[in-house]
Amino acid sequence: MVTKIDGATTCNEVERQVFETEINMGTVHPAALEPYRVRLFVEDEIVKDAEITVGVNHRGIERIMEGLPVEKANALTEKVCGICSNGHIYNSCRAGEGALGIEIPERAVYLRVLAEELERLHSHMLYLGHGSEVLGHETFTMRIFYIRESVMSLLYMMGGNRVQYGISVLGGIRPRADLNSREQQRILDTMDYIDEKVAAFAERFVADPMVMSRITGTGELSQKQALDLHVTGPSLRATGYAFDQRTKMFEYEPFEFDVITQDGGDVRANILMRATEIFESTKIIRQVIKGLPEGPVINKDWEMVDSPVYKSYIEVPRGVCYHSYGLEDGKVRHSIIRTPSMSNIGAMQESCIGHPVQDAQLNIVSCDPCFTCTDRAIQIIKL
Amino acid sequence: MKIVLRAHHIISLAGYIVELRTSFRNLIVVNHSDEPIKLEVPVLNDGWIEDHKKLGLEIIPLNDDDDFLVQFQMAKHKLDEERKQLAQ
Repeated sequence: MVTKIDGATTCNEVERQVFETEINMGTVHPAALEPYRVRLFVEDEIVKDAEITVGVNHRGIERIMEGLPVEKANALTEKVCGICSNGHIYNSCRAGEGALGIEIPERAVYLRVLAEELERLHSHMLYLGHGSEVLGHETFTMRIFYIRESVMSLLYMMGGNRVQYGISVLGGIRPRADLNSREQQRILDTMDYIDEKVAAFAERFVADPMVMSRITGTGELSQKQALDLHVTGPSLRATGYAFDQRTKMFEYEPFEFDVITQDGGDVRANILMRATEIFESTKIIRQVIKGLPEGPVINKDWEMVDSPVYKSYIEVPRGVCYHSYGLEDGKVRHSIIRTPSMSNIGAMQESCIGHPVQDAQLNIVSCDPCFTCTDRAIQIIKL
Repeated sequence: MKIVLRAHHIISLAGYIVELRTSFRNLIVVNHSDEPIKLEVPVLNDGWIEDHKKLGLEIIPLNDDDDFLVQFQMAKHKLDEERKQLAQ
């Protein structure tokens, strides 16, 4: 066995042959939501090494973006993910606005934060539902999905769609996504509903000794391992490291919220991490509605110029999302998109090692995987 | 984590690079061999290029001033020619 990164070990193919059993799962498997391949090298029911292979869903989004007009390229980034689609178009517009020096109206900044927090709410609830399903507790899954539906309705109200909202555009937000007073009140009412229902869900979850004993100490990841593996977002904060990209974003300066952390880095910490963050998101949304400034939602007074590569980082539900591109004749060049799952997959592998094989799927799911969004390498030649 | 690059295929690793620890912005990776080759991602440092060249891959690093589209089309054209010769 060789040391890959401090604290994390991996083996080469020859060393792997000494293990008793290799368990393969995937690439397409009914227990997995997305196509990916897991190889577990098992000895006496303990996972000694794990390898995740992705790349089945190469869609080449960055390659397609190269040479496209910037508005079209921004719209395309929304197709990267079906869960944090708003985060991608928001960050892509943010990169373009930074490159071109576009000022955003204050009302648009607030509404972008609102949309992003609504997305965080529905993503975290999806995670809780998925985690409960893998635990085998279908009642929890159905209950949290029922609560999540209210957030999906709000996103539908705001963007006109349930998955691809198209809220952000260069210079602000689409006027369609502006909110009148009745819609603002509906959002506030829904936040009260979510706070009440999620608190009841969390109490029931924590009070269940069967569930808690199943997830406590399972799939532990140390803080050092998490930092070495470049883990971001709630998966990093679940190891006790208080880093949230939102604290570095100018959009979030007017709002008060806490950076939630948990100790242990196990499945329990990951689940409680997301459940607690839901209350911080509702807190931010209330502040957005309360302080929503009047005025326009889009600034069209800007000119297209050539620009060097501009980088933008935001906090999407799974962690830090990176977008960057330069502009030449109004077209995108050197586009790069890095989703948080890119680095969180390392944590999924490491959290399996040293634990029983029956916990492997739970450990992988606890890091909130989004493999399809990670698969954006280029495949030009058809099979 | 791994991704598999099939035989006689070309990919770009833009989103698989941790940009803060590397000196390049993009990598074009070409597999000229008849075997699929596994790539270790994310790309965390410059040593990745040498490690993967040893596996028989052609690797073209790109910086801010390089034209990605031109480099990619050139590498793809070369690969297409190889594939044509193999098919004959």
